[in-house]
Amino acid sequence: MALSLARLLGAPVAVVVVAGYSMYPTLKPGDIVVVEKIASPAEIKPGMIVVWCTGPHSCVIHRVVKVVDERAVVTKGDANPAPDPPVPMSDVEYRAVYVVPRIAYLAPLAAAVAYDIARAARRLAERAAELEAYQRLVVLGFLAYLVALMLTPLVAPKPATPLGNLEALRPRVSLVNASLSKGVVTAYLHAAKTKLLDVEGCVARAAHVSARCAASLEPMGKGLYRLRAAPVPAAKFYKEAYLSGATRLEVDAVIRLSLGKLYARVPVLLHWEPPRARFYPVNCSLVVVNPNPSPLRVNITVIRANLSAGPGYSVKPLPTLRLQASLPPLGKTVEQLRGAQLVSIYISYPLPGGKGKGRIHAGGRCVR
Amino acid sequence: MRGCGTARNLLIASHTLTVTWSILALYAMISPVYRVRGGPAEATIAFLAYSATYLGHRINIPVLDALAVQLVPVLAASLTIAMFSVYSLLGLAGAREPSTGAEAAALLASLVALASTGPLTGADRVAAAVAHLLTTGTRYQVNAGYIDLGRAVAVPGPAHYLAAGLHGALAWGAAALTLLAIAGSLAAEECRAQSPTEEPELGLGAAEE
Repeated sequence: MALSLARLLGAPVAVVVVAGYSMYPTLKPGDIVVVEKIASPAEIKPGMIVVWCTGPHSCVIHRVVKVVDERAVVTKGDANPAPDPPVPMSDVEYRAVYVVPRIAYLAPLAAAVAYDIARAARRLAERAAELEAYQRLVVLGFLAYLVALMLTPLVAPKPATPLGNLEALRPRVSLVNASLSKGVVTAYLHAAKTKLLDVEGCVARAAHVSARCAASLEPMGKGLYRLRAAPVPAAKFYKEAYLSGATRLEVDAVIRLSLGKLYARVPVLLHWEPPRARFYPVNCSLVVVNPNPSPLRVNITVIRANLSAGPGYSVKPLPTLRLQASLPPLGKTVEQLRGAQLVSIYISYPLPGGKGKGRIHAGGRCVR
Repeated sequence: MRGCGTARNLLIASHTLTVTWSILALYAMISPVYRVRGGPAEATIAFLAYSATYLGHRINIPVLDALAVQLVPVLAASLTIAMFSVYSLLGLAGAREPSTGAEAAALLASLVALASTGPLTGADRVAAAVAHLLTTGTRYQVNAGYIDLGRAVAVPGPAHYLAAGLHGALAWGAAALTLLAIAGSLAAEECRAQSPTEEPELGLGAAEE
């Protein structure tokens, strides 16, 4: 306030009261610093304690560490680890010339206050002697009550936590392991301080696809439970998940506890595998296996040829067969390819998420 | 000009109100201020005592233990002013003029009642915070998802309305008590001025005629 007024009036001398610890131990909070106006920027030298202001009422008293091209100064609090950003020379208005330590004025102030309290107490004691006995009873009784009210918080126990340690009583359920096999999510849950009773509801989600799921819970002993969940209808769910290219499946199950409910979330990775094709030469058949829980439609191209004997073998091409097959989830299809001695089979299938087509190859020589 | 009868009547009213106030204050301190039901917590919270279970386990609530200790002076003061007032009422019943003791007791009771409303209102806030804490935090994250222990509710009891609700019935009572005590004291002063020769005795009962 005094500095603001001095700045407003352009006073050559002002006083500031230190408020922080940035200049500790040179300046302590409560110290009064007498500051003098800086006449010319040339006066500012490194090591000088200066006052610079960023607003009408916000000023900083720090030590100059560097003068930059006589246009700006870099200051730093003695206790600060890093210097302040450069301050324009024009903002540096005052420099410290004298420090009045806080003890120099706080001690007499405290003594004056103590003297006043003592005088007031003596006057009260004199007045008390003039009071009627019943008035003294009222005053003393009420004072005693006030003192009791003030002292009881000191003897009351200090609570470290308002409610004690309720955390330790709370049930905990942790997901130990989760896997996806043949379209069924199996999760192992460990329960502490509670029991998992049954599954109230279950939803499976993969990307934007969701479906109700059938779930069962089985206690395994020692607080361990096995949760098995499969989307219903599985084929439709996994087909949509495959088409959307989802790589993550989450099962949200509501499990009833001995008290309350667990809203469990079991995440598993959706790992789509390409179909597998195997050619059996003995009966000249092709078996295409779908390892995924989603149905798969594949195009099978069979390039056929016969071998004709002679002086060496010659290959006689036969018309190419083009087949389409729908592979059931986790199922297979068998195609008989009789009528040719050599077959080369190309199977194309849609990649997850509709990202083009994948191709696998099989083939060989049919044994008659 | 009011006579000794008026002073006597005002002091009787003041002491009656003191007794009523003390009974209500004691009731506010020992009767349930909040009941917590549902969810994991079952608790009955009074300022001076409580009973709480969490998930079937009996629990200690340190902040309520501290609160009970802090209200001991209020409890002691309520009992004391109630006894003083009953004694004063007995003395006033058979006398025409009020004694200075009855007047002093009325003034002291009013000051004590006024000073007690702060701790009682504060106690209600502490109890409300505890009740709130017991009803919240019933849904929390665990490794497998989150657990919902159920919805708990805190129902304020009649003591809440005495201590803090409806702007604190006890606070209004204390204010009324103070006004009555001051009016009674002023009337007693006039009564003594009318009969200066009689030196009123210092006692809680009425002066001898």
